[in-house]
Amino acid sequence: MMDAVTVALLVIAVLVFPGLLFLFVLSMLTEWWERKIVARAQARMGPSYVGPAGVLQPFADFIKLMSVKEEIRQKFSTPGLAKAFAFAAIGALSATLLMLPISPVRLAASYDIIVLSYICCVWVPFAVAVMGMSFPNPFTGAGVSRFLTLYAVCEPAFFAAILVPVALTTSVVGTPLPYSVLFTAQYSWKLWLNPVTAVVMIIALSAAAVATQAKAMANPFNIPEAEQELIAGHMTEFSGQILALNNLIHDADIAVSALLITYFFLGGPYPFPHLSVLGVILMIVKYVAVVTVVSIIKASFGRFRIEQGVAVIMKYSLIPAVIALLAAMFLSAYPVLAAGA
Amino acid sequence: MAEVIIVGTPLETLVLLALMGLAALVAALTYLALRPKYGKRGGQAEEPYLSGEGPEIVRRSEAPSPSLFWGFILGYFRRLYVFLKDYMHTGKLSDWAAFMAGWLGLAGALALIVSIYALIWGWP
Repeated sequence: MMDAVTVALLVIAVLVFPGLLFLFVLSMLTEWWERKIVARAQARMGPSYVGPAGVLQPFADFIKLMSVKEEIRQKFSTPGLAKAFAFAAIGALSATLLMLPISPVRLAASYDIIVLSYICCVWVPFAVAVMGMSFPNPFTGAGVSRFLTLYAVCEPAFFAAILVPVALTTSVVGTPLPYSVLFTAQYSWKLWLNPVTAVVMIIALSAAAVATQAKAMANPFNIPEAEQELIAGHMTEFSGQILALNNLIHDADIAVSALLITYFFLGGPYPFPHLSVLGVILMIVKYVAVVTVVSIIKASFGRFRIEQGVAVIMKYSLIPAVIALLAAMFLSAYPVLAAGA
Repeated sequence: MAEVIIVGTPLETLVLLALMGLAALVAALTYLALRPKYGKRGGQAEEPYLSGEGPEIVRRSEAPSPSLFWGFILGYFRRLYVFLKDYMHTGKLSDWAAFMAGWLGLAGALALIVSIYALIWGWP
């Protein structure tokens, strides 16, 4: 069982680093970087006035929505329910980070990839859908319908893709615990040193990249909000504090997805240790690279129709992820094939 | 420096859910501290936002059944629809007869094979 010191460390970790406070700052900085890249691609300046190079603009936007703007309610809305689920989603994303090596107190268990997928894959989309439906409106209904349709394809694709390094790290590299999130994040970089597993990793990484674009609801997958078509889709009735919380969940989901890709596919700070200067720099470079790719794709595409979006996710994410997963399972059954390479 | 806590999967799930609840609670308390201190204002947004239309615009929200059917058929079975239209529904009787004879012939051949199999080796 855990002693009092460990419990205190866990509480500090989930509230400060890498939990609530760190995730909030990371989400805001991620939004700033994304806005700057998209603006650059569209020959605009992006955020420029608040803080150096506009880096504090997302913080200012959040504080303005949270503590100044009025929350507009319509007679059918249940804002309390929306807020309760918003806090649950923020809590879920904060707790997820304790499974990664970025946390000074790390939780690990055999097969805890299932726990990660449960917390990330179930709580966050469910919360966003409930938040939308808490403000009934035809546009909101259509937006939530599209959101659930999109997520029904992109979440399985994303988790099938990240299951590939988990399976390969367990069977080919060898970890103290099987199918563990923590040990996969620590050892998955070794999969790139092996030409057989590297090919499987490339397929899974490309599948995860497409799924992340859809999870972020960034162009060409900004189908649920669909400006000019559905007004703002599932966010049509959001204003004030609800809009601030929704934007925070959106940014935090992108940040956690980018961190998962950074660790599972790009190796995080490894082969350098976390607490070394080179390790921190490498980690930041990889994270920024992931967010930059998402932003460039966002700036380069128009919006798909819902059936096009689903077809593209199936074609370029779900099917490649399943193929990579089958290959990973085959290599898990016959690890000698990868060991001999 | 870093501490790794290895536990069983059920305990990890419970610990993470408890920490998730704690983070959610702290986020909610922060929200309560930050939210504006005024009461409910105005009342200009009592109705849902419908691009300036009145609520009667959504009074009949259900789509007509034929539209749903043909929307579904044309949306998801377009390829089958085009195939049938091009190969069978060309306007020539001989095309229709050839198409139907082909499928019925296949069905007849299958029935014959199954019948012969059943007569010789018995019904599985």
